[in-house]
Amino acid sequence: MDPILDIRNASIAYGQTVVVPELDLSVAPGEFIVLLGPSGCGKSTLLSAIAGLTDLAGGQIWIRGQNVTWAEPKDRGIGMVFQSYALYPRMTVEQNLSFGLKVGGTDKATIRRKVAETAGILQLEPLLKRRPADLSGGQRQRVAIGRALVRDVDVFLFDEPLSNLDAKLRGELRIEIKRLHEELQRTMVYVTHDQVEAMTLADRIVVMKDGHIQQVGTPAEVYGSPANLFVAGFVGSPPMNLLAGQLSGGELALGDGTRVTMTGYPLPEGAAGAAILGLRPEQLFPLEGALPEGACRLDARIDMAEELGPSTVLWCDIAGTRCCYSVPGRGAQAHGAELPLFFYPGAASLFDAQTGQRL
Amino acid sequence: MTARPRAARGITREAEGPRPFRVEPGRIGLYLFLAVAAAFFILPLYVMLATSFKSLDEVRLAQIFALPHTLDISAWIAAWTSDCEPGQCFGISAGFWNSVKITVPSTAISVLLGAFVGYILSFWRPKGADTLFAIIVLAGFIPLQVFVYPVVRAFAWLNLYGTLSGIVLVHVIFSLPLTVLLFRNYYAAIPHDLFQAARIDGAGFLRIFWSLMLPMTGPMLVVAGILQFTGIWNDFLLGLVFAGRENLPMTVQLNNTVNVTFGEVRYNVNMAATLLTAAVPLAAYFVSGRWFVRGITAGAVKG
Ligand SMILES: Nc1ncnc2c1ncn2[C@@H]1O[C@H](COP(=O)(O)OP(=O)(O)O)[C@@H](O)[C@H]1O
Ligand SMILES: [Mg+2]
Repeated sequence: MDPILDIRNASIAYGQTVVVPELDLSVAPGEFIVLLGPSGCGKSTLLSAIAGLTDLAGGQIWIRGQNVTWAEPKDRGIGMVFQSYALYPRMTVEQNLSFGLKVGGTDKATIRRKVAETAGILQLEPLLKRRPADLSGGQRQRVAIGRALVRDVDVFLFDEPLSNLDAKLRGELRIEIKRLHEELQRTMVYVTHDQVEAMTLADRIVVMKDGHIQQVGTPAEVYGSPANLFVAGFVGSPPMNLLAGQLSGGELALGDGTRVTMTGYPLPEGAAGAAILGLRPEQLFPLEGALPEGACRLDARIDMAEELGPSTVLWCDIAGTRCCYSVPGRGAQAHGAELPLFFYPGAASLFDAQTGQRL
Repeated sequence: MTARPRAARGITREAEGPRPFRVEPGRIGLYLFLAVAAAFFILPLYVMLATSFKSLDEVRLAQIFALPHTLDISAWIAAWTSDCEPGQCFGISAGFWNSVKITVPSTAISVLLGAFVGYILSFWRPKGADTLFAIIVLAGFIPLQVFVYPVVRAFAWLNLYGTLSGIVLVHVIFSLPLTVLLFRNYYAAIPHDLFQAARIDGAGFLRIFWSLMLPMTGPMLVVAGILQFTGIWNDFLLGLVFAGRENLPMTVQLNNTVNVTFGEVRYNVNMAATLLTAAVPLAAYFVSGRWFVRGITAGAVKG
């Protein structure tokens, strides 16, 4: 299928400072794309370039098969939801929703119908006569979403829409946005630094750092097979355990001399040298009894336990590195207890220590 | 053992409920100062008011702090109406209407233009916007007198010298530094997202100003409006130089009334004429004082 949004070799700069250098990204129709990255990595900048609010320094942006690189924001078929809501303070909710249509010269009857339709989808009917100042944060954000929705755009752009809300509302609205996407099947590009939002909402996650794309993949791919050390460390909480070692002949020697054989891991031919083993907390597990087939063993000394309710995170020392693993329910271990932990190398990650890239 | 905190005033075991009222010397001094300062401003006003209601005979008694025996409003009437003596008319009612004709359009135009330029500088940021802004503000610090002669020459050449449009234009030009400064800073506090949301909604240059920004500018419109209104109403120099004989503002006519060079000085009429001239800006402050304060202290947007 042709991409609905195609960013071709785009670079964006503020004056002499290049914030996003030469970026390529294609988004399929109906896809929910999340741009994930730490603060200041250029996510908002990229989004505002897609919206046409920031000029490109180079490259092109295509939307629905048209080159919109030089097009005005209103002519791009995009709607945008801002972190600050950016509702028009002197207008009622109804006027906020209809402003774009009115400016576009839509006739009154159509405006009324579309506003009613949108208000219905987002349960805004009781709020239509209110001013933004008289709404709660969650209501404001729903109005902001409605303002994009009412205009029948091809691509929705969200810039951290939930980060001004408290944790409970954030969870509720997240589900609402997901439901909206499933109902409308519209293309959405969603910026966030919150990995939970990214994991739960995205069809594909684009992990960014310093304006560069680090990895594009489904949440499972990004979480399970991070493309490099940055993605491994940024995605996942608690973070991925990273154990340094020396790789030779399919065997990894850790700092304390432990040797693990990477059977089942798709190692490239002749990979050797300094490497880093990456293990998700739930990929490590304690076990009584015999060594299961294909599993590797590591020796851990328990440091402390964090009980989270449904699971417990145990912090421990493995080969001189602070690590953690999680067990379901309550599984506290005595401080200083020594026990073996196991993992399947086939599911683990292995990175080149020099380049940080996945092996 | 931890050291006991040094006994501080107000820390007692009995403390409960509202703090008891205590008279402090600093307080007394403060109120004394305020009273003196208030008297300093109120006394002249009182003398003027009292004198304006006295008859000329009573004025001659030279008891300036005495209340008038009877409320004699003939001085007010004389000050207002064309009170003509051989060769000269001193009434300031004509000047009043001239001032209205000058002040109202000048205020409206300079405030709207200031808002518009401030909007452009804050949101559209054309190349060199900051430099332009700096120049405009710096120009506001140059004494007006410097410009008088060149502007007179330019206006004479444009046939604007001595006309109503001429004086209005002069006021608008000389007001711009202040109004642009006020509005640019007001708009600078409005989140840029709002502007961008409007652009995405398809609103253009004028639409964003008219439908979105101007309605949010209420408090600053009031502040700038009052500053401009009183400033222009009280202007003397520009009115004298640019307005022309037909359009002399009230301040200039007041000066003509007060500075008669022959006959007896009619203090009561002078006082009444002065109070009449001052009444308009005073009324403006009274009517809009609340909004004025709100405008100065309010942030740009709520929610
Ligand atoms: N208007 C601007 N002028 C100059 N630099 C900017 C501007 N906006 C953002 N930046 C810089 O660009 C970088 C990326 O910013 P941004 O896109 O907002 O990051 P993110 O949204 O990922 O947190 C940051 O280093 C920021 O300082
Ligand atoms: Mg951002």
